[in-house]
Amino acid sequence: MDELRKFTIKLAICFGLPWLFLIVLPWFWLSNLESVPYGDDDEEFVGTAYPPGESGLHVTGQRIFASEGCAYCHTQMVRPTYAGSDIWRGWGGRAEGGFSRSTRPRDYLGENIALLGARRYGSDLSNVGWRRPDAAWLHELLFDPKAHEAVTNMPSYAHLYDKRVVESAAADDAVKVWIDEESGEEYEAVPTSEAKALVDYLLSLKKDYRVPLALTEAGDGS
Amino acid sequence: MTTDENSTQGSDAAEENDAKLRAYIDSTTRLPVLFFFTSAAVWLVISAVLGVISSTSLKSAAFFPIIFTWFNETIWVVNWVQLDWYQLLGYGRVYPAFMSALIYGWGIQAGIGAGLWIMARLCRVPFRNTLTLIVAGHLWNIGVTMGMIALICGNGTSVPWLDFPFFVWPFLLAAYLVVTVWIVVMFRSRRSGPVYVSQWYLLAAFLVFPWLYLTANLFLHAFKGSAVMGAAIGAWYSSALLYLWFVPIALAAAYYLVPKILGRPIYSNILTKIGFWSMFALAGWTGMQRYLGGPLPSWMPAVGAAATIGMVLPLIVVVTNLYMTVRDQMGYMQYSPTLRFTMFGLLGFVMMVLVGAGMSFFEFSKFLQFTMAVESYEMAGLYWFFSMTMFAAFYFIGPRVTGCEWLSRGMIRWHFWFSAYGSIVLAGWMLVGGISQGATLYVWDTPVAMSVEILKIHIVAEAIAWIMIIISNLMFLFHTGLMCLRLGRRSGMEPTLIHELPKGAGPDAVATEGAAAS
Repeated sequence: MDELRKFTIKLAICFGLPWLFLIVLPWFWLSNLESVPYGDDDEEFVGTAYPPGESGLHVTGQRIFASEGCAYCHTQMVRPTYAGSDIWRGWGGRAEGGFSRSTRPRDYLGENIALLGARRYGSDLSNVGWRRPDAAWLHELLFDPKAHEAVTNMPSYAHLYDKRVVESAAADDAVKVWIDEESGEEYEAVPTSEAKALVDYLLSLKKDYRVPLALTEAGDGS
Repeated sequence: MTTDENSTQGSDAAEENDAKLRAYIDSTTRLPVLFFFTSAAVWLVISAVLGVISSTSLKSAAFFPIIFTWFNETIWVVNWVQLDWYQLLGYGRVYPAFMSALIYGWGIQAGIGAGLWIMARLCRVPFRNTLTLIVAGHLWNIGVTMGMIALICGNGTSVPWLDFPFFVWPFLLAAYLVVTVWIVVMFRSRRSGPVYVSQWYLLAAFLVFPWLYLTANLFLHAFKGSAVMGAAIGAWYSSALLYLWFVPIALAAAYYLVPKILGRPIYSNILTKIGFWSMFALAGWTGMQRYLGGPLPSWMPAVGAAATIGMVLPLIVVVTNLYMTVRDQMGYMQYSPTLRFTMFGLLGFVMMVLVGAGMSFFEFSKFLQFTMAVESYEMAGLYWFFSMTMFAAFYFIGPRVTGCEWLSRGMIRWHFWFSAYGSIVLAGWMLVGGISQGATLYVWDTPVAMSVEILKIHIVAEAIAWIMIIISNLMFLFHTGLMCLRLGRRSGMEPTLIHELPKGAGPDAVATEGAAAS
């Protein structure tokens, strides 16, 4: 039995070291991150904090984003210029005011899990809330992607919309109104609560807030 | 760590007793091993079908909506086909389902089947309480099925390789722990004498998995903490699963099968040791290079990248060791299915480690990160290396646990060539696809949609590769089914070789492949 014990100890050291130093300790360290108030050096931002913090608001939307597998085509991670062309593509945030930058750990505060993504078959969504601030536009895209982009590979998420007969007048938030050829009746598609949550979540994706000088000078990357 | 498994030296009487013991062990392992292997093979076919569907959805998002519309509008088709059902076949749901079926349905079950049998054989311990193992196997399958249904219906977590919703992991962990207990108990009651290298690999893989799986799931589902660490743990888990589970199990099988087939010891004891410990020392640090340049403290992806590049050391050592064991007998690959699948699978190991190491450099990762090259890396490991080695193991184990020989050399041959085609396309061609996609994405003013348009020809190739794999594995499943029903060949118990062996050719101990020689 001695051999087994010796082997198990060696194995536990081999795997335990990365487990402790790469996973457990950084997890505790990074879960203590909090938003940081801007200091006096940050001039126009004094009185607010980075990130502005709307934690917990968009959890439902993020759950739908995850369960539909959006993260398999859309990343939420902007790499610095030495590691990719993301910023040149305009994914880094608002172009005016020099906000555009790569993402940092605090940008994801309040999310259950950062859906950094697996592939880029679509564009990066870290700052889609700035790029596409129009909820109606996003609803139309989700309902029928081809309506907005001639060349797109995005599937339709029409199942997140209720299709129903128009009663008196079409609803304000109807994404599409059409007349059925057979019955001659007028139909409309309105977002379900899931679609609304998803769009709310997409609109909330803004990860370009100015990093307080105190943090950049500390250089801890968080 | 000994490298000579064939060292049962002794009198003829001792050898005869040992043969009887081995036959007895094989008869006790029959049910659990066949259970794990057949359910794994079924999941492999399911996963390959999902692979075709996911490639199709990626190639043309409108394909399934059009098909469903057509069903919906065609009068003679039952009208319960609902237009909205195409959502079940969208890329975002089918791709994770496909990967989960491949990993948890096929990979881990095939590994458990092969691992249990090899461990029992090397420890010379017959199975007891096989019923418990069968129950654990059912529990595992129930867990995977629940997870798959949940994924397709839209409950995935979008964490690659950990897509199953939170309620699945306790099932899988419980089932797995039973198998781990079996492995450890077998090891503790082994016959005295030196321990063979395959036993160490198996023991390590079976001990590490529960630790790894529990850590990943607790941090993802139970503790609420850092969002970015969740993503990092997902990346770490998938890499550790690859290097600490799939690779060791496949290497345990390779280290067991090659000397068995050729009747000679492993080339070098010291290389075996270096290969083993360098891999286990490095593997736990890999993984976070997936987010090179991402929102993690930058030392974390850097450590992952360095460790992944370091995996080239165990690669060189292990491949040299196995190659030198075969050395002048490479020609025997033409005849022995087991040796052919094992040695071909080893090429997949080379491919996987080299692609993984390449993607760990900024120079390459800025092109290849988040492209199809990731698929090439994963498929080189999961299909080319791991699956091919598992087929090798099963061509060896099958006759022993069922007591009859493989029926058709043609089916083995076609299984090999179709699977080999699939492996090379999935790993090799997808790398080319990833490079062209990444190069297009890197040019900042080309639309993202353009990079996918360029990729489409490669996606078609991927779908065709999965169709080939479906064909090859339906044949394998059918062949295995015949074996399970004990309808295999019984006349003359010499092994089924891919081609007839000319007189006088082949290694000295060629008869070891057949069931008769056990």
